[in-house]
Amino acid sequence: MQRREVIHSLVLAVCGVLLLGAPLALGSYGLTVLTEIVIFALFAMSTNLLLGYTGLASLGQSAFFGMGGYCVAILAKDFNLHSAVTLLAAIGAGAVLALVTGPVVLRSTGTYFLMLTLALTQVLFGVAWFLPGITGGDNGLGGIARPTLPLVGDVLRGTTAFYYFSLVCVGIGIAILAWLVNSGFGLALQGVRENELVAAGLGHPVWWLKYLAYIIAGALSALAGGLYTFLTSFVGTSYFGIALSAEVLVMVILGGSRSFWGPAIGAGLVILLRDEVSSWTQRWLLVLGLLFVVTVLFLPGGIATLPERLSQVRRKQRGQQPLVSVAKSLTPVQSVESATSHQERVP
Amino acid sequence: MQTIIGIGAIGISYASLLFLVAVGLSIVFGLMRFVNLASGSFYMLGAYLAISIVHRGMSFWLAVLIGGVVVGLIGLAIEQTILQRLHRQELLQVCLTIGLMYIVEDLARVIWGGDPLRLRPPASLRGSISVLGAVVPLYRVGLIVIGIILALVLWLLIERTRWGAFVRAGVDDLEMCECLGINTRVVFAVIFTVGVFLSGLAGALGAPLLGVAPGTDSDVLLMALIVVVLGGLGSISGSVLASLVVGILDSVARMRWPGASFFIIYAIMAVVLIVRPQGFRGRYI
Amino acid sequence: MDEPRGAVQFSRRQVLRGVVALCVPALSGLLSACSGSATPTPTVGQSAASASPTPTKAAVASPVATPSPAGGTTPTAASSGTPGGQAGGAAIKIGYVASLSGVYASLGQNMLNGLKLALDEVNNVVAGHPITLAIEDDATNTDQGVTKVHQLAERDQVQILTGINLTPVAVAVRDYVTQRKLPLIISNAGAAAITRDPNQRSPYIFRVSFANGQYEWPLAPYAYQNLGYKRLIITASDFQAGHEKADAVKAAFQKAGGQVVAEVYPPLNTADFGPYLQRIQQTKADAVWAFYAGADAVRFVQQYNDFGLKGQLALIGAGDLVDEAYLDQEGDAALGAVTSLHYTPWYDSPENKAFVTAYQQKYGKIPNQFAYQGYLTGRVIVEAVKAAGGVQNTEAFLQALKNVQFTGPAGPFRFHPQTQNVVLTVFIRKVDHVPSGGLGNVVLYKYDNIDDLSY
Repeated sequence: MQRREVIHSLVLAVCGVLLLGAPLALGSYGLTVLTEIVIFALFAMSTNLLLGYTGLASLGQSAFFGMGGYCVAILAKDFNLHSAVTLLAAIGAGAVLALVTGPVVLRSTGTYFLMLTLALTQVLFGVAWFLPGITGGDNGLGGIARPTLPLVGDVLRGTTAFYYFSLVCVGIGIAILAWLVNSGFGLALQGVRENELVAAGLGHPVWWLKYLAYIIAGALSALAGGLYTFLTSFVGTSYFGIALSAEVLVMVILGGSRSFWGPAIGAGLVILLRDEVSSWTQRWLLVLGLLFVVTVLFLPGGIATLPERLSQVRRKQRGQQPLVSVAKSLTPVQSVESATSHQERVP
Repeated sequence: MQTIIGIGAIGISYASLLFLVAVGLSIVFGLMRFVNLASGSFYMLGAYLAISIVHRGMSFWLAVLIGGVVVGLIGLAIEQTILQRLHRQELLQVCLTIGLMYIVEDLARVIWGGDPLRLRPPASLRGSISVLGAVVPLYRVGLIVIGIILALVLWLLIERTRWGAFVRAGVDDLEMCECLGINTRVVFAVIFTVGVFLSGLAGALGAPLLGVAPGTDSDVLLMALIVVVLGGLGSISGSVLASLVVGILDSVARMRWPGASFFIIYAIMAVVLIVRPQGFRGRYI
Repeated sequence: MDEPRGAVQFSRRQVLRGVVALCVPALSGLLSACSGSATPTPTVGQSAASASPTPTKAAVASPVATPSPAGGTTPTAASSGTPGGQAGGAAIKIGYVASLSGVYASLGQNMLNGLKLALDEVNNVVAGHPITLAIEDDATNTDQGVTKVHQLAERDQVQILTGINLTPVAVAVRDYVTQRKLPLIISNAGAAAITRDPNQRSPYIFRVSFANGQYEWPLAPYAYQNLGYKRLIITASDFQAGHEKADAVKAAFQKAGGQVVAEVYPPLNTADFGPYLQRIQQTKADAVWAFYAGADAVRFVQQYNDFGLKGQLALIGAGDLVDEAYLDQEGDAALGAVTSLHYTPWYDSPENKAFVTAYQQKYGKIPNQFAYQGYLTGRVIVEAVKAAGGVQNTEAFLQALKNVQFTGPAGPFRFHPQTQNVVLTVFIRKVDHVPSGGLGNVVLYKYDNIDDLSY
């Protein structure tokens, strides 16, 4: 298992360096796209906390995203609060929304959970639409200035400065997620995903685990929403609703729900497709749909499992036995990894 | 009294359309355990096809039937080639249908353009009649009648035929069914095709009433999902009940509190699901 | 729901078969998209002349369109030897962003058609500058629209930004274009505040289309005085634009002496207008003023007829109700509807005849209001560039834009000096049979010089 971990760390390190050095290579537009990818990576990964780790597929994460966005926008426009601290308020708003709706939504699982979360984001969509005095209605709220930082003031106006700021915020969010999923909490969540009854039998407070995951996912999604509002200086009803929820779900599945970094890859892929491919052909939606269908058919674990699948195909070609097909998680789940590593050493 | 009849006609005819889309969704879920998110897309395809066929000069009813059948065949092709490979992997099947949604949306825009299209009701059902003083468009009455007939036919098929028994058994306990030697693959194929056929049929039937345009697929899908979830996944009588409730309540809400009509449906769904998480007639999850 | 288990195992042959199975519909889709369909593929302008060419370079006027994957229907001219003179100056890059897919697809496409027609009239060369067009689709999605604006401004370095049919996008990018000093010519987005509100105006933003209410309100006094309607029911889609238009009509009607007896606002994308039509049926009035657009308009007009209201209660409204794009769909249900709009293809003027003929020749259909707005956008740019000699000097170009005047298809065109919004000629039209067969919006009356501060 050393080899896989080493490769994994190397890849992460290279990506980190690339991300840090991006402003040197990319122009202002490219940097804006990268910032968008980084923000949506957080959104997708927080959604995956529910989907991949807890096994709860939610069509309602856009409710929190929009909540965060409107929070910073309203604080900026109506209360003239421009400090970056409003992002903390956004996180709080997301957490409160999750706190309040959790007991309602978590009464069901599976498809019903899907529908209830969908109802949540659709209701918020309606609220935003029908209260133009507060939310700007279907016109939305524009002209949201970048936040000011405590000591240095107005420095986030620049594209590069805001990129690093987003990187830091998203980094903190991802670090929190990483810490959670590698802890006992994360393992317990996966246990709940695998089999709720057994998990309950083993003494885990299943409902509280799900509730906590729901709140954390909501809070981080709200952070992403607030950041995105600052990036585009705009928030509107499109931040709520089924379209964005479905899109982030596509990101998660495309990238791989069983891997920690999969959703980030998915976010990058979808955004690049949407923004870049649409410049070459009007049929970008067709391309996205086809890509999604192909991924679901041939790479159901998502793009993140591509290396595994390739090695499996190669093994089959060489006539070797395929490796034991266990949950291909990039987060070191110790017992599982040792089993595979044992296999690999056998010639 | 007038108002009640008027609203009743509107609500029930809308419910008819919802029922047709929802029942396919519901049975497919009950049996195959996945939500076909492309149902709205099939509705849209059925409508577009019927419109194209009528523009070529064929009769309305023939166009409706052909539209439904062609869509059903497309559904069969998809089920045989793609869906079968994802047998029993529900999340992936849901994702697949999302991808299909995107594909159909784009292709439809290419083929039929972005303008909203409509179909004229067949000559036999044009104009309106007066029922106790309320003006009721004839086509809506026709839709109600068609809806009732189809609901009865489906009920008969499910409750009174051998195939229906297979389906009901499969919804109850799939493994047992297979143990008993029932070819579930064939049953799946048939059910999925019928479900998709009904969605396409609904689209064609709805074209004179609602028209079709880019975006119709999402609108119909949302409403159908609500009906299915409310009625209980896997139950026809639940679909009937739920589509009536949603159709009528939606119409009443729009008449009295237009601003709130957007919420009311979702609020009702949420309330019902909180009180009774499995819907009206669903099986306890 | 179950999680994905290990991937399905495929043999290589199965993989190939599967890929082919998927590629066939995809390819057929792409092929139908590229060849012979009504939708021209987007062109990212890459003329032979780059942003700062040397004067020796350009003897030939460069075509606007890149050979796109199909090259089939890109309808831009590719000629040399232009009436506009030899192309010897720096290329001017125009960015166009609008909804080319999604709910408003038809709108964005028609606007683009008109814009291209205007540019073709001068063979894509103005004052010696070749014009290139960079087209982006916002898919009727605000976020994407904002992203595309950034893309056009920063990546493609356009010098003029046009299009924008979604009001939220216009609202969102107002500060952005002002900071970047990028002239924006709005081809549709109607929120009145963009030009009416002194705080929201920008010296860089012009609008050739309309402000919500601007072409709607003149129908109110006309209805009261000429048509004799004293009591009016107002109905419109429940979103801000709908309310802006309805409020303008309501105020104007009350000012003229009439009474608004009811207001009904169905949500956008209402499939079934039955409940609302019931309400209308039960209210005593002389006429119904309606604003609906797109699929809503088609459904409303048809259902209005189906409910028998057409005979009982006269239907008047905004021109969107009977737009040429779907007037045929509505058919006889729309017959007799009196509407107001800033354009109709049946206005009898030499400029309009020329425009309609050229549009029909090029696109095979009659232009509607959005094609006209796109055309105006292009024409305004052409006139302003001619007057200023180029766009290098932004101040001079802005000044030239402000002073643009010409006779367009709908009559004299100019911007209002303060709001930089178009001053409209409002036509009162009626749906009637037209000599060429079918239905059309025939002119009953027209009001000149309606600006966006008039109400």
